[in-house]
Amino acid sequence: MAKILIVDDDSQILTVFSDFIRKMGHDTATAANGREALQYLDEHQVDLMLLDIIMPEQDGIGTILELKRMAKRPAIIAISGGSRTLEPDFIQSVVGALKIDNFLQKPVNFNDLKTAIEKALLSSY
Amino acid sequence: MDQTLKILHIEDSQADFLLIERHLRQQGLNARCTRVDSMAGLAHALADEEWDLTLSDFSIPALDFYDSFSRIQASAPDLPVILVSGSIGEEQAVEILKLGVWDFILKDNLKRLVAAIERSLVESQERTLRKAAESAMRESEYRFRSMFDNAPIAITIGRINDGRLSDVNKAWLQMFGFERDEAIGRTISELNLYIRSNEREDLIQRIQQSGQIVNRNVQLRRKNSEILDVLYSAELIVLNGELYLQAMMSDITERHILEDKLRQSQKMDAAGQLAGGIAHDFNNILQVITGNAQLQLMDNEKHGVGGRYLAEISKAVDRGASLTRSLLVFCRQQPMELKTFNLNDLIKETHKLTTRLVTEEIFINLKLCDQKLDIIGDTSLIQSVLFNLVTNARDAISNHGSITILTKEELLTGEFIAAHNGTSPEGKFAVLIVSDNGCGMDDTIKTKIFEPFFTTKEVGKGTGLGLSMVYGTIQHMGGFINANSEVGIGTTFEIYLPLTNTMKAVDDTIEKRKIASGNGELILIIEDEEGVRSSFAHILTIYGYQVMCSHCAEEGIKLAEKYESKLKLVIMDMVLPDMNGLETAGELARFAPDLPILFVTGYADKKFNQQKTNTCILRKPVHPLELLQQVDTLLKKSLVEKGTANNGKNPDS
Repeated sequence: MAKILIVDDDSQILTVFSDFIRKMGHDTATAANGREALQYLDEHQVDLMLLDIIMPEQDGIGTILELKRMAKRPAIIAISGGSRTLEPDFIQSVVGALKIDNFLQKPVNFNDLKTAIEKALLSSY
Repeated sequence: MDQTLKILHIEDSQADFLLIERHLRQQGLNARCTRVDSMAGLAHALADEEWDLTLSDFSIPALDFYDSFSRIQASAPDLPVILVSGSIGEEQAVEILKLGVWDFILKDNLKRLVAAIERSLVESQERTLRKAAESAMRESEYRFRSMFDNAPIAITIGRINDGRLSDVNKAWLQMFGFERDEAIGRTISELNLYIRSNEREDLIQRIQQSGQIVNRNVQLRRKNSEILDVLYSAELIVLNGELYLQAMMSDITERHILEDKLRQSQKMDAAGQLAGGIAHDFNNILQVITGNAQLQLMDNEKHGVGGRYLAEISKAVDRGASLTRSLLVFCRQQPMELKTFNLNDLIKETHKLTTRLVTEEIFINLKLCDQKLDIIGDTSLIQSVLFNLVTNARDAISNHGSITILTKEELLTGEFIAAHNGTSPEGKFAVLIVSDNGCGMDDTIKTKIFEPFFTTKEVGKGTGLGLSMVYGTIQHMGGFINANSEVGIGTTFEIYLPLTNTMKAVDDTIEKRKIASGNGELILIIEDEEGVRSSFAHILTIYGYQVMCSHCAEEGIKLAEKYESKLKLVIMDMVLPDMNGLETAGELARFAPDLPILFVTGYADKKFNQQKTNTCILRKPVHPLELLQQVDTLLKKSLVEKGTANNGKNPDS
């Protein structure tokens, strides 16, 4: 069982992702933005983060940059549905530059999400 | 007269001259007289001074009167000349007056002289004034004529009572394509310019009501039947007591076309911004829907309950996601994901989904050809095109009906492609035909169906974006679309997409290559375009290289010389403001002959020979992955070569 932190500004998304991931057998926590996520990470051990890229307060990219400074950081799956973030070039450069584990586009099919989570957890152990 | 008159006196007798001068003084005329008695003297006098009047004797031995008179006329045509002579016959006097001599006085009867002088002076003054006025008039006439002729606005002057044109200017002739003599004396109706039969009556009526017409939009026909949008102004003028209509026209056809285009592009921008703005939120909503549907599906499975409806929800979400994507591509907010695929396979895969779009009373007939139809495109956008066309076909069918989806391969000629506004080269095309036996469209609707926001559906039932999205998508993929329709019979859309062997296949292998990262190698970028420079620097830095930048060759060479020992590679634009790429490479080779160089160029430059193994060329736009790949290849090659070179030098080591 892994600890997975879900970060998204949409509360319905937090609920539906949490429900699914708990069904997968993992423990979940949620944060509404990057700042909350970083606060949570200060106090808790997290294996994987599902991180929305476009959020108020602190967006996903900023959060990842902060995370990179941490000695031991969780695996990251970035998720977004914005128009700019749909560009293949942008995705490639984000995945490459930030060394994140995967990038998914909303709406995400849960079969794909499951595969991505399993892969990310596998590589982070 | 209060001013001293300057009188030139042509007279051979000094005595007569003095006599006449004294007579004038006695009569109270304030005059200064000067005598000449030769042609040379006359010429000098005329050249040196301005005279008010000339008195002239008729018979002077050294000077013939006719000669001297014509001389005066030549240099001062308005100078009054009075003949003062001893004896002259009546016939000769008449002849001389006819020549233009102002008056004639006998020397032995000088009583009339002063009066003659005064009258001549008054007349001369009047004549000068009249001439000035005439010349001013001529000048003004010339000016207005030239303005009329050369005005950029078309102008006509036509008689009100019969409408005949009495004058037209060059701009008008040019605008309507007539020769001058074809137009003058004819009426606009005879020239067949009016498109509306009662246009002239309307214009005349309006001008009689309000005295003028200002900037009225009128459509008129050119001689070659082209229709012009004209801004028409007119007013009434009176010429020789008759009423005329002076009309001015400017051609605004082009402006109307541009305005239409601008409106279209503003619509597209608005749609783009809207799409870009809602994409994020919309995808979030879709996420919530599909996520919950999938969760419910899992619960159902656990309890052994079917999930048919939930599966349908998931499928609808897929369609929604593909709709946002195609809207973003259509509004150029997002690039297409091009790949090679078989159109027939895609249609088969999509068939199930398309059948869901229609009611049971509508039958979808699939007639796919046997050949493989490999095209390059975005699969989800082509699906979206199919959904759009099928939805439209469904809406055109009121009860029962059928929709046929047919594919075939066709060899198209350049003319056919050009006639349909296609841009691909001639060759084999995949043809996708979607036809229905619905209500069809009339011609007016048909001309508008591809316009953004045009819809015949009720409010809330159509966005008016579907077909224009189809149009845009197909165009982006190098193809074109053709619509045929007849009211009551049905509509057929034909989509032509170039087959892969027609289009140059895109290299999708790059996507599959592994991205190589650097290890702090120093790379110099010489590129004058800031955007390109910074994007290269950005991507290389992200991938672990160290980067220096320069905007010109001179500075680049200096940097290279300074950091020669650490520098591993140069990326350089072929065209630089101060030196071309090859020259710059030559300069670099002086101190770093083995330095690998990666050229980038915006031109399809055939002159470039890849003579050296440590150079390579990339054409703009350069894909970031391609850049990284080439950088990696060149660096590895250079390492191997260095190794061999060192081995050669030190066989023992």
